[in-house]
Amino acid sequence: MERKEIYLKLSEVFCDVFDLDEVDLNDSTTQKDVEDWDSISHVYLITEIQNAFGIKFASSEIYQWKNVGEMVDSIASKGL
Amino acid sequence: MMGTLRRIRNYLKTQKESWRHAGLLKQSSALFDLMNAKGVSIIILSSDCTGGRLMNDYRLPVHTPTVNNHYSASDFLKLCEAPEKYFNMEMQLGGKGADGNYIGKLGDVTVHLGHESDPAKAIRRWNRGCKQFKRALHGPHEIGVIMNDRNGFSDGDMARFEALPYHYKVIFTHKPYPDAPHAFYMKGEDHLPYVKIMTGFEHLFSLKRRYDRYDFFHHWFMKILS
Repeated sequence: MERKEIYLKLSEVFCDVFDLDEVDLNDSTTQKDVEDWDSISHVYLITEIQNAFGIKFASSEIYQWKNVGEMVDSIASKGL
Repeated sequence: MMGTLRRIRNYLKTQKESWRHAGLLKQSSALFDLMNAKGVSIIILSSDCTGGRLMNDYRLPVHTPTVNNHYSASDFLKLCEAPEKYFNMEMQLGGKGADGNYIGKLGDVTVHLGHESDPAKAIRRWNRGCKQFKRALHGPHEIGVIMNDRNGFSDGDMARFEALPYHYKVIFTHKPYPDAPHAFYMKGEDHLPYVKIMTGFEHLFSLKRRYDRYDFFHHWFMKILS
């Protein structure tokens, strides 16, 4: 899956989880850039990303992400 | 001297949360990986912030709108008795309550929407929680109920709590209830009318929150996920 496709699908998940009409995600997007993205919604977001992409993250991966770019790196590494 | 003490106190207040998360990292990592392996959702119905704090400690999703709000004991029990009924209702905004929080009405249940100065955001957060709850119900799940004897709880409410049809439930109380198997007595608070705020730390230098006296990790999470 191309990085662009991952971003497209990831945006859909973000819109669904945070009830947004649209969201502008890029490599440097962090929690402070998306309204309502807090520590509680973050874990739910991860489960929805896993469901949407049909992948599983290890806890060791998710605790290292500093921004959406690193999240996308993780998704891309699953060889979709 | 007083200024130094105040600075120490403020420093501890700001740092304790991250120290606590670091201390729980091994357990929260294990739970996240188990949750993924089992695919079970843990839905938390909580009468106040305790459920949100707890799940945030262990980095587990809450799948519920109830956390971060509070309710009268009777209204919370109504929610727990029929969550699908109430979580399918459209919340009506009812102005501000005496505690300064906005109030949401769900038929005969009043929700005190906590931690939110914008009522539209509070309602949005509630609706998001309802959506998560309905989704979680469709897959393998367990429901856990966390309550305490604050907010007008009476002895008569204990029978309703014990009758709730959930295996995982606990109510923190300021006095013993020997006939209530799911009551958890907070020793040393008998002189109070109800338990102190459950999310508080045991003392200034402790990283343990008051609800840690109940071993959620082993009594609930490990049993559900392993």
